[in-house]
Amino acid sequence: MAHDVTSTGPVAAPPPTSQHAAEAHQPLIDRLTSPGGLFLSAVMLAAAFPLTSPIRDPDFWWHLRSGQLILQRGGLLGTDPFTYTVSSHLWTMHEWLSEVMFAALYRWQGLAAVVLVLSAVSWLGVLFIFLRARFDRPGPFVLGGGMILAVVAGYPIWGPRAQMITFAFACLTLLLVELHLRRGGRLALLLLPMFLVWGNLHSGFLIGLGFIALVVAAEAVAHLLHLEGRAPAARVRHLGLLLVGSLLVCAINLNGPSIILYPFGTLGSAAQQTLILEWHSPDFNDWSVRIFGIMLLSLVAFIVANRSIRLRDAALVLVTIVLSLQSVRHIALFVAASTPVWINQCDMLVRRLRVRRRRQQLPPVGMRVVSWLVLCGAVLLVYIGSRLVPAMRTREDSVFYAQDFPVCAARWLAADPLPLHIFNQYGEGGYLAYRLSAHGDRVYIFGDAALMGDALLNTYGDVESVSPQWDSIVRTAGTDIVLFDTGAPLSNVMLHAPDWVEVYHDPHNIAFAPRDRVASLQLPPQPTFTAAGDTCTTLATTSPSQLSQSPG
Amino acid sequence: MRATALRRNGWVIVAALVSLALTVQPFRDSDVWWHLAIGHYIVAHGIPAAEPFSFLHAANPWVGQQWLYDVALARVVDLGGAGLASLLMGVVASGALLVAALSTPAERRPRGLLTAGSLLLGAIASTELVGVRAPVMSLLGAAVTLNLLVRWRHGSMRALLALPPLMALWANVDAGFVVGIGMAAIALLTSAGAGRRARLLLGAATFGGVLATLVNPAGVGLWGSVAATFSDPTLTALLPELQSPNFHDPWLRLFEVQAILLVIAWVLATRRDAFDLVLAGAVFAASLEAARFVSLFALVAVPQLAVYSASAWSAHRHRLPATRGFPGDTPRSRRAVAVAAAALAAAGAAVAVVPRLTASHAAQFEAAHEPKAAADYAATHLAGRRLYTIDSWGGYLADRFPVGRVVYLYDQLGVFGDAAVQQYIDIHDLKADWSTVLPGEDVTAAIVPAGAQEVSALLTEGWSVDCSDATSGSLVMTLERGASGAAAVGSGPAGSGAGATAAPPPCG
Repeated sequence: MAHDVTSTGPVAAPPPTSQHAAEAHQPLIDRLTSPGGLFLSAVMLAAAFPLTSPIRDPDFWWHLRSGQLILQRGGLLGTDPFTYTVSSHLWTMHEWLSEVMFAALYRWQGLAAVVLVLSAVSWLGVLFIFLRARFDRPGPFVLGGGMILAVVAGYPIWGPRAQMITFAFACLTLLLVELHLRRGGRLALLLLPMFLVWGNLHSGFLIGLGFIALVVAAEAVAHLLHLEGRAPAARVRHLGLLLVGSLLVCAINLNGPSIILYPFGTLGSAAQQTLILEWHSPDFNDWSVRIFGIMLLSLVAFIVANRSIRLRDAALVLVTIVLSLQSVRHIALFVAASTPVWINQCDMLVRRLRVRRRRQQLPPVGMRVVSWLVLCGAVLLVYIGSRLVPAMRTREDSVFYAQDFPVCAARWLAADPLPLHIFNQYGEGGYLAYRLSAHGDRVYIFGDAALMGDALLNTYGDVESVSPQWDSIVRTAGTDIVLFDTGAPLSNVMLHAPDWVEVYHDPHNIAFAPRDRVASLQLPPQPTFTAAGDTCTTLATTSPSQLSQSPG
Repeated sequence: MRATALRRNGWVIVAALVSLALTVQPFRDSDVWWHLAIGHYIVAHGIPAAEPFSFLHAANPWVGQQWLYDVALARVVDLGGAGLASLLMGVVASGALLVAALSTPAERRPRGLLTAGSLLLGAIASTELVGVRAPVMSLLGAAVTLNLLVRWRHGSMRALLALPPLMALWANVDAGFVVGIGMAAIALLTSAGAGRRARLLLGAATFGGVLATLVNPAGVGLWGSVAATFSDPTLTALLPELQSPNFHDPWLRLFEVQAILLVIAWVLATRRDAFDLVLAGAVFAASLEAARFVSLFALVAVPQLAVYSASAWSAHRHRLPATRGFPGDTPRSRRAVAVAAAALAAAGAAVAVVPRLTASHAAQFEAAHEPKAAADYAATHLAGRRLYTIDSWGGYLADRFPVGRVVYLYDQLGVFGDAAVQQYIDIHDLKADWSTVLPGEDVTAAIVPAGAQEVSALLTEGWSVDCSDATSGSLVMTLERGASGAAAVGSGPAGSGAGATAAPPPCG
């Protein structure tokens, strides 16, 4: 009575059907304007929707300010100019080129240019996934469906941020590696200049190197065990050499060769992984994460049902599943590496189950081209009108940003004639540094966790969680003012603390100064928030439920 | 034939004995204390209609769903102390793993060593979720259900007769009986190739099992209570077991390893069973939503990992380079090594387990993990005063102060209702109106962890630290009537509570 799902052994990936092969050799115009082509075009354009938003990443602001300072000084900063706690620490600016790019874009067209370019970079990453998935010539509807699922699964981490550069480069790395293993040629040499740039843009270059090393190792095992679907040995050897070359190229960095070891510091820091939310494991009770769960489980189900997967694909899937279950930020890596495998596996299953499809007669080419133009134009227009333009037009001092960042509090602090030492919330240090560092103000902590060091992160954690030492930690550090989110536990306790006095509040932030020093700080008075049309007036006079959550 | 079966099962039994080193645990789960308290209460007064220990007004009636477990636990502890309870619950957990390991079809039964290894991996992966806790009874229930279903799938209709009584018993012990019903439903749905009669009988037995679960003090209300517990977002926010697993924990990496090995074995094995795939897949998905299901996955994976690994090995071993045996590798030497290894492992397990069963070990563990000295102090100096504490210590205080209703709430949160739980969250997480919670309930004493944010908060409200229980890391705090704000801060910090000027006296 035990029932077999299948009794066949592992098999090689089935070859594409003749229909798929025929479709692959169709002229581009026919492929684009076929029903499948129309669907894919619409999907790839629609993929840009979730990738585009205003700035949500709290770290963006200090990156921007750092880039401005690098351009201003003509070199790396050496030490941190933003804090009063770790200003003597040597600063490894592993994202210096991204920061310069942000500053240059900002100087050109403000935040709009940053949003536009980072959205385009994210979309390019998705395009690279699409191109890699096409190697196995899946059916267009499976390909499109897989792309939709991937983009939705990655929703928790999309947005304009430096990590999207690593996402795009990781996708490009995997595309070039797959291309090389399947077809050979010299295109893989592009990896060398790519790593040169990537190594200076973001420390995530280590992921790219890791992916290549994993593929080389998997191919070596596949050769040892004579597994089907393995790449020619010569190409694997070339890839191994390219890996070594890429590693050497990454050492060409303004921070010096030690940049290669830098990312391991973050990976080994318990304090960073505890304090920073995006290093936490995904919460599958959250609906946006459940889509990732569905993609993961369905991928496993497809693999078990098909029992046919290349070892290098299996290795990439395995490693990215482990990484993404560890930290929600790694869902992007899962999407980058596993989406083509999902599509390929789904296609294999569909092909096994599907009866031969009847070939349809296509309408005349003119009508098809018009349909394609109308469909793509419509999707593009909706995207630009409803997503891109509002995101680009969102001003720094808009209500949208004022709900997430200390926009109004920074304005109030800027009116103080004295430079202040501000004990701040971890996620708001970047914005305060951006707005107030020129004024001479210093923050307690900001988002470069490696620069802050585990000791400071743990100490900050003690204050944030209102441990019994909070007051002495804050005072010993030389703090002039505490600026925290309204409603945070620390704020709620400080409201009752007799030695501290509330000196400012808005719906987003509240500030306290030591009672015995408040007069000497020359703090501006509490704003009245009465100026009509002003962002802070709107924030202060509108109930949170009525405030617009949409950008623009 | 019998000798082969003995050799095969012998390894598995040795592995189960070794697993006792992991499953026999002291009272690590803080829930054990309120289970003990309610067990004693039931023995004395019967199942209560309302929550009997807290001064809060419980919004919901007491559903004595685990009453049988509570009574048994109280009896066992009265009889042989905490050590006996630890031993028995360890035996239950290891027994569940053993039953699961032996739940394989006879014709596909793998080598004993493989099953033994799988059992040990399952035991390690579930270590954090076993011990003296009611869900362990559900592990045993799930293992027995699995065994019955495997026997049914291989032609034994009589096995189904055990399903309704099992469910009746299970429903009075732990809410996990729903898992058993789910397993039977999966068997029904994935047995398209089974005969019509067999499916009808399983359907009838499952239905009988559902009806049997109604034989409990709460009747139909039991199902509503279970559904409410699992679907309440407030409870999910408070109870880590109902949250997604934190894969930064090394033991959850073992759960991950077990899942990965199982998928690899499925892919490489020559034949797969739809029931196995759907069951393990469903439990894995549930584990991603709530970490409490990780132990169930570990259990379900034990027989599957053994069966499919064996199948995969025999199908693909020819791919691996041939290896030569060791010099002197004879059946007799192997047997000797096996016996020696088994004896060594069993002796090691005994050495690990026996010291945990002593009264002094239980007392030391209690003093280190529960606010024992602080509770002693409160019993002597704060008799009759309402005590605030964190939810995970509330159960201990319920056991220590079962009369007089001086306890705040504990982790039977569903009975207190969302309003009371939200009020607790207000003070525990220091929400905006935290300072109104305790005065509103006329609470003037607290037993709190020394590093908790409540300590800082209460100090700003004029509370003072009476004593410190360094062993458990707890403080006894009180508010003298009439005191308010900084004026009442005695031994607390200057002004706001930080940097206490003098160390508080020890509670003991």
